[in-house]
Parts: sequence; C-alpha cells; structure tokens
Amino acid sequence: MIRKEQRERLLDHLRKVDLHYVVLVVLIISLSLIMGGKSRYFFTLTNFDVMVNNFIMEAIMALGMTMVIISGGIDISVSGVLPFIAIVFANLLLRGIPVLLAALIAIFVSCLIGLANNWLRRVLNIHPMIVTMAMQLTLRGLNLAVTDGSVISGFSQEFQKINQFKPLGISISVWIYILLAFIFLIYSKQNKMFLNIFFVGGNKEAATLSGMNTEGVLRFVYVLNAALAGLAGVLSTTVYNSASYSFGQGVEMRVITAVAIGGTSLTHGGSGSIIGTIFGTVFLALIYNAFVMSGISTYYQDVFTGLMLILAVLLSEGARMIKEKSVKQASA
Amino acid sequence: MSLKKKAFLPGSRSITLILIILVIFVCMSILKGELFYAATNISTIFSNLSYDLLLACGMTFVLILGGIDLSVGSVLAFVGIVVTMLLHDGTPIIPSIFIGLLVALLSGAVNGILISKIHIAPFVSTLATMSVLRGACYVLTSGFFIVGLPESYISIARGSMLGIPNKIVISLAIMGFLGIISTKHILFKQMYYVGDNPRTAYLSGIASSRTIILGYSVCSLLAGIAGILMTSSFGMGQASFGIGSEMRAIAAAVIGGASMSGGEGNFIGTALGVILVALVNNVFIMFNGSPNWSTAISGIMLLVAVALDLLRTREKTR
Amino acid sequence: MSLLELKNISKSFGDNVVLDRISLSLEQGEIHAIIGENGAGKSTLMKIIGGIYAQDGGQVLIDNREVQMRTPMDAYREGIGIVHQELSLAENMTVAQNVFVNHEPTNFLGFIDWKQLNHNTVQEFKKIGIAISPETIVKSLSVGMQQIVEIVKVLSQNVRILILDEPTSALSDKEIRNLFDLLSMLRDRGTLIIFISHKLREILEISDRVSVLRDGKFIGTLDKAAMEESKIIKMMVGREIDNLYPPKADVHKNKVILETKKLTRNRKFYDVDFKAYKGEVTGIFGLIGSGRTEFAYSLFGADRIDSGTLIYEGSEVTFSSPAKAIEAGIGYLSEDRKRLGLFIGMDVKDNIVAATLEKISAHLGLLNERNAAAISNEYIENLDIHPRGCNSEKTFNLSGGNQQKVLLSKWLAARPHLLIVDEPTRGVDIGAKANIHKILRDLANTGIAIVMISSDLPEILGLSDKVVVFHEGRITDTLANESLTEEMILEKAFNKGGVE
Repeated sequence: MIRKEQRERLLDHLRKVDLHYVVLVVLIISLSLIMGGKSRYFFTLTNFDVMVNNFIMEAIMALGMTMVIISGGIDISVSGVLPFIAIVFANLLLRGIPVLLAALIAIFVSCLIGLANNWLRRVLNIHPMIVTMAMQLTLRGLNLAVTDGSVISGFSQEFQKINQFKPLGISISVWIYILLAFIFLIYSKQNKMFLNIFFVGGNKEAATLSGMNTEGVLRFVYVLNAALAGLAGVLSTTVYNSASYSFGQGVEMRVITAVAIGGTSLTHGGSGSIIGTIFGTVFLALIYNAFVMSGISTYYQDVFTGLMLILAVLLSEGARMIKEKSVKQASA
Repeated sequence: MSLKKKAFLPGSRSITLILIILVIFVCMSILKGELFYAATNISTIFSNLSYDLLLACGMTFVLILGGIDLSVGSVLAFVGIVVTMLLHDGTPIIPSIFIGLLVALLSGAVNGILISKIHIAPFVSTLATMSVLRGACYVLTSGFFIVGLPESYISIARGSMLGIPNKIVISLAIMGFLGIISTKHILFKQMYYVGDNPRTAYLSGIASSRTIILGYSVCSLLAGIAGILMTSSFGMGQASFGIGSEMRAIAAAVIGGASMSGGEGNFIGTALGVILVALVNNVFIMFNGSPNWSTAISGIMLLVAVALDLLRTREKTR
Repeated sequence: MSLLELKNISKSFGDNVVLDRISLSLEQGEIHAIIGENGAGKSTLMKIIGGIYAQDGGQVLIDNREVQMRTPMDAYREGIGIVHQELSLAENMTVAQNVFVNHEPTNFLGFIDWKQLNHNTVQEFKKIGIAISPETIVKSLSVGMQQIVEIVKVLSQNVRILILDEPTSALSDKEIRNLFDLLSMLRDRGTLIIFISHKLREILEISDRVSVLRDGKFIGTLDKAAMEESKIIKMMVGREIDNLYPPKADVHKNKVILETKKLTRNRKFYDVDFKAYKGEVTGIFGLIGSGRTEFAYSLFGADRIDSGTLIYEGSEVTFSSPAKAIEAGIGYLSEDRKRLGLFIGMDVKDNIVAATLEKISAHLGLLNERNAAAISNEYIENLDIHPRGCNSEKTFNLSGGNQQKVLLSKWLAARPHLLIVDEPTRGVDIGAKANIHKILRDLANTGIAIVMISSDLPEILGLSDKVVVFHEGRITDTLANESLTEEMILEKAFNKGGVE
C-alpha cells in the first residue's frame, strides 16, 4: 500500500516536470555517451576545457538573453557589445588602470549601451530587433574603425596570470558562469523584479493595468543583458590575452539558439526558464564539441545553428498549438 | 489645408532626397574638388550600387508587407557560390543561372511559408535562414574563392551598354520594371493591403499567405540576381560576399519612404535611398580615410531612417 | 461628504464626444450601479476614474480633494481598483503570483516570501468563501474562476473604491452568489462599489443606487426605493430621434436569401435560427457579449461554425474564409472601422476597390487603373464623400463620417447580394448618419438583403423591417417592426421575464 502511494506521489512529481527538459537531458546524456564511446579523448579534462572555452561566453550571455526574450523582446546588439567592451577594457588596461577597476568601468559602459538600447526602443516605439540591430552595426563598425582592424595586446604579466588561476582546475570564467547561473536560477523563481519580467512578457498591457512600472522592468532587462555581454567582453580579453574587433562574430545567433532550444518562446513572451536555457546551452556546447571531435568542418556550425533555431521554434509552436487545442477542448 | 498640397506630399520624400544628394555633391565638390570628382572615387561610390539597388528593391517589398528579411546578404553569397561552382564544373551558363535563381526562390518561399503559415516572427525565420545559408557558403567553398569562370559569364556584368556598365543597366531595368508593376499588378498591389492591415485584408477576401510567400520569394530572387551579378563582376565566388548588406538595404528602403510598420514603400525613394547611403559612406571615407567606418554608418543611418519613419507614422495615427 | 465626486467630466475621441459634462456623487459604503446602452460612455468614465484615460475637462474629487491620476498606479495609490472586463492575468503564473503582482511580500534582497505570499492568498480567498490552492497555475482554471482571481487581485490592494466592469458575464450562478455576498460585505465595511452590468436583474438585486447614462450624458440617479425595471429602461431609451428615416419597404416579398438552422459556435452563440430576406433590412439588436458580432463573423466565414446549417441562396454552404463568402456575394462591414474595416494608410481609391481587386484586373492580373478610378469616383459622387475628388487622398485624413462612407463603398463596389453592416453609423455625425441610412434603404429597394447589427435603438426601429433580438448568445425573439417600441426591444434584450 505504502509503495503504491509513493509511486503515485512520484508520478505526480514527474507529471509536473516539463517533458521538454526530459527530452533535452536524455539528448545530452545520450550524446555524451555516444561521443564517449567514439573517442576515449571525450571524457578527459582537456576536452572539457576545450568544450567549455568554446562556449562559455555564449553561456553567460544566454542567461541575460533568456530574460530579454521572456520579456517579449530580443537583443542582437550583444555581438557588437562584446568586442566593444573587450576593446574598452583592453585600452583601460594599457593605460595602467587596475584590472578590477578597469573591468568595472567596462561593464558600466556596457550598461550604458543597454540603457541606450532601451531608450531608443521606447522613444522610437519599434521592435527591439531593429534598434539592437542598428546598435550592433554601429558598435561593430566602431570597433573596426577604432582598432583599424588590428588586435590589441601587450598587457602586463600579472594580467596574464589571471587566466592561469584555476581553482579546482576550473577557469575563472567557468566559476563566474556557475555563480551567475546559480543566481539567475534562484532570482528567476524568487525575485520580484525577475518575476515581473514574466508578467510584462506575458501581457504588457495587463501588467500596466495592474499598476506595474513596465518600462522600468524593460529597462532592467536590457541593461542586465548588455551588462552580461560586457562581462563576456571583459572575460574574452582575459582568456585570449588580447582584444579584437572580430570577437563575438555571430555570437547572438548561437545565444538565441541556445535559449530557443531551452524552450523559451521567441514568438510569445512570458514563457521560458533559466534551467531550460542551461540545458540548451549544454546541449549546443556538446554538439559543437562533437563537430570538433568528429573532424567535421566548423563551417557546419552556422548551418546547424540556423537549422536548430528553426526546429526549436517549430517545436515550441507545435507544442503550444497542441496544448491550446487540448485546453479549448477540455473547456468547451 | 488644400487638397492639392496634401496630394503633393507623398512625393516630397523623393524631392527632399534628391535635394540632399545634390547638396552633398555640391559641398563635396567645393571641399574636395578633384578628389571627389575623380573617376576612381565616383566608381567607388557606385561600385556596390547595382547589388544594393536589387537588395533594397526586394527589401522594399518585404517592408511593404510589414516584414523584414535579414537573409538577403546570405542568399546573395549562396546563389553566387552555387552558380560559380556549377560553372566551374562545366555546366553551361543558362542552366547554372537558372538553378541559382531557383535556389533563391526556394529560400524565399521557405521564409514566406514559415512566416505566413506557421506565424514565426519574420526576424527569427530570416535570421535562421541567414545563418544556414552563410554557413552553407563556407561549407561548400571551405573558405576558398571559386575562380576560373567562363569569359562569357564574366561579361554579363562587366560589359557595358552605351558606356554604362551592364550590371547597373540590369539592376535599373529590373527595379524599374518591378517599381512600375508593384502598383499595377494585383499580386503586388495586394502586398500593400496585407502590409497596411492584415486583418482587414483577410476580411476583404485578400489571400494574405500567398501574398506574403510571393513577397519573400521576390526579395530572395532579387538577392540571387545580385549574387550572380556580383560573382560575374568580380569573376569569382566567395563565401563572404554580401555580409552586412541587408542592413544597407533596410536603411536605404526606409530612408526612401518604406515604413517599418508596413503598407508603404516607394521604389524611386528606395533607389534614392541607396544612392544616399552610398554617398554618405563615401563622404566619411573622404574625410576619415578609413573604409572601416562604413558598417557603423549603416547602423546610424538605419536609426536615423527609423526616426524619420516615426515622425511620419505619428502623423498617421493622430 | 461624498467619497468620490465627479464634476463636469468630459471626454472626446477626435470629433466624437463620448462624455459630456458628467457629474456624479458617490458615497462611502454603497453599491452604485451605472447603466446605459452600448456606447453610453460607462467604460470610458470608469477608465478615467481608474487613471487609464485623462479627462479633457472636469475634476475627480476624493474626500473633497481634487486628484490627478495619470496611470493605474496613481489610481491604486488613491485606493481605486478596477476589475476589467477583459482579464488581465498572466496565464503561466500561479494564482498567488497574480493576486499579489507588484505588491508581493519580499525580504530585503527582493526575494519573495513564498510562505507569506501563499498564506496571504489563501486568506484573501477565504474572505469570499473560496478555498483555492495558491500555487495553481492560472491557465488551468476555468474562465469563471479566473474572473474571481482577477477580483481578488484588485481587492488585495486594500481599495476603498472598487469598480467592477461586467464582472458576472462569465460566472456561474453559485459564483455570482458568492460575489454578491462579498460585495455586500465590503459595502458594510465602508467600501464604495461601482458596478457596471448589462443584467438589469442583477442591478436591481445588488445595488443601492443606480445612475443612468445615455449618449455620454448623465440622465439621473434612482434610489433603491425608486428602482423599477420599467423606469430604468425608460431612462435608458428616450433618445431624441435625431434624424428622419427613409420609408420602409412597402412590399414584403419574404424571399429568403440566407437561413441558419440551429447555428452554434461554442461559447459564442447557440442554436440560432435566423432568416434574411431580399429587399429587406433585418435589424439585429443585442447588448455587448450577446453574440451578435460573433454570429456575423461565422456567417461571413471569418470564424468557424461548430454545428448547425447555413443555407444561402437555396443551397447548404460552408464558407472556409471571407474570400469564399465574398465570392458568393456576401459583404461584411465591420464595427471596428480603423482596425478591421479600412486600410487607413492607403488611398481612398485603394480602399474602395479593396474587395473588388480580382474584378478590376484584366489579363495577366494587371489592374485597370482607369477602371478603379472610375469606380471610386462613382462612389465618391454617389455617397457624397468629402473632400470631393479625394481618390488619392490618404484615408486617415478623412473625417469619421466620410471614412465610414469609404468603408461602405468598398462593400457596395463588391456588389453583394447580402450585406451585413455592423454598427454602420458608430462615431459619425448626424448628417452622414442620415445619409448612410438612406443608402442602406436604397440598396434594399434594389433587392439586396441588408442585415444591420446595431446597438442604436432608434436606428434599429427607424430602419429595420424585422428586428431580431440577441441575448447571451441566443435569439430571444424575432419581431416584425410594426408598432414596436424601444422599451419592448430593450426588455427582450435584457430577457425580462424570460428563462435564464
């Protein structure tokens, strides 16, 4: 009897788990096993390092992008912000400003860009896609122009040591990501500001009628996202020990795809989750790693990313349609 | 306000653009004189003109529909590569071009179907297509240039008629034809209706899905033609052709009077927009000496264009 | 001293006066019903009190103090809460999150105190005698239950003035009972409750006073003792006949062009038996939510039909889209001119030929511009659309009345056999109104069947040959328009004496 009760409770718990995550986890595990079976090299720390370093910036930015997309918007300026902030940070370092202060200033600048994105979006009253696209172009152009296409490097010895500092064998960027992911996981479920983002994305007008400062919420979202892109810029400079206009090319596409794979809807705001994004990020990182391991040309990455984006959107739209149909039938 | 004056207003955008272009020409020739007028500089200004005209023309259709197409730059490169690879393998010119254009149409139709039937946001769908096709370019070429094209193919764009380069003649002819037909043919005219108000169009018996699919197909087709002209003109296929050109196309069309909110677009305006964007770029290069600024300028021009559009739509909703 | 006082509140949208110097005094601890026909200005008035619209003129006073409210936030701060007709819930979130949106109990880090939140939610629901799990996702609730959540959400803000806009439309009898008990309790605690409803019986039951609005004007307030159905209806009607109506069809040929049998669209309308006749104007009257527009949508192929049959010109048909219905000779003039009627950014000419594009295109689909201009000119002339020769004028430059005529021209140009017009004279001036009425009657005289949906009683009486009354998705009666009065129709629309 007790056993049956326990089983019921377990089933009840299982029912509450989104099928989407189950599928993703199963995919992630089976992909790892296949890769592990194919290559002994797969489950080594070195490969883990390669895999992580290839996708850690995307992973960090995907957290902020998730919130932007949940709010019903999009921000593709990140691929302009990342190299811009990397260049700003590098220049500050070269002027002898202490690392931590330089990082703070650089991230502050990225916040200003986020503020500008939101301001333009509000004032011009158009889809954030257009505004952030223009911002991306402007920044990318600016990056090329100010660096004249050359790579900035020549930082102090001390600075280079940061990259070699690996507590428990894991690099600083990964630690930062783990910390951020943890914060986002909790905040997206617990924090008032984060939860308001879901309301604004779900029904902006209703949120306004409920007395919410929706514009304030959106400002927070865009600044937060730009700040994370800025952080990724700072970390890129640290990791590569240089800064270049070519950083972050196409990064917005990979970030958006990771978020979409995680089940956050690009068509309807208000639904999505950080945990889904984390799964989506791990999944994409594994796939890219599988490409590298199997010796498939990295050129396939872009093709694959685009196809994954369409597929993820199609699946989420299909699931939504089926769900809505069943709800309608049930209530009719 | 008198009726006559109001009826005159829609054309005023084009007149303003012509005036701005003239002013820039005059200022530049005073400030830079010979340097500006030099044949090399004029040809720099107009080097991208023919491709940009085609892309902006296609973009105008999509903007009229109330959509956006970010994939045109990738379509341009991809079609260019498909055609040059076929030629490289010895396929005759006509079938090669035909297959290339078919590929372009197909890509546009896929976008149109995803957008109209499955209701995926245009920027998501075309962003994905952009990524897929750009990636496919690199996959096909492994990053190498495709050279060794037949002389007759190269002469398509490089030849000239009455001293005007063929590629400009071809673009202008296509654009002129589409510009005229856009208000005269029912299939194109319906785009204005669907873009102005999709719900009302549906309630007025206009087949909106068909119209949307047509719009994206035409846009892609024009990008494909631009790809053929570009590969012909350069005498090679290259995976990085057309990167960022979608932005110039959007900026030019919006500056020319296409509305980001759909239902409006003016092909003469778009053509003038293309020239203006090229000119402003040139001005920057002349004063700054670095062509690296051009991307940034496209971005800023896009914002300016949108701001101008905002002023106009305010008038509409008032 | 009144708790809420309105002084000379006026509001116009464009040249359309929606509220004309409304003055009202509302007391603490009363349930005050506001009643009026569609378009009388009730909702606009409530939106002004709720900080959603700003009034053009007049003052809002609370405790004799003038208040300025620019956003819903300001209104909440003044202790005013509105339960809107359309639900404003985030469907993917829990009941508790929705109820306490924007005033969740939080700790110093901005973290939500879930225990407290859920506890508070349970408490709020207990007050109205409902037990609910605070962690239920709103989407999984019935519409009726969602409505309750919406009400509790507003109540949780500790409002002194509670406005309910048609709160009972989706509720079951038991839920309504609970709601009314709650409202009485709140009143006894001193809350002012403003109650907007189309259900006369509810108003008589629950309210202490009732105020009547008509055409944006304040007509009068009745105390509990003076409240009678017939008296209220008389105050609601009594509009001035502001124009002369053309004579009715002299010969009723009774030639049916369209017939529906037991037509049903779930949750919109049920078992509708309806007939439209050639050469006649069939008026459809019903209050908001009575299903009349939805019915027209289904006839026109813009919405699906769940059961029943549709017989058009002698054969059973289903229209899969408006394009099919238009092809068969049906036109539908929408009540929402700007959103669903016109292409507001396009030329007048383009609008007039919008539903006729196929007909005016020649070989290879090339449009015959001259033909289009000729058609357009013809209607501009015949319908007296101003400014004259406005073919290439952008439609948004025209006045409301002329825009409406452009819309009408679009459907006339399609040469329909059956034309459904939904609120054909909403927001147009008196001159244009008379003009449109005459055009509709002339059309009927040429043998076209006109179905006119309207909430303008004089218009229904003045123009229709038959009147069909809708009430909550069903036809309550079909009346020949002989010696009909406004009261008789309104009683049918309220389903007075009928079975609920």
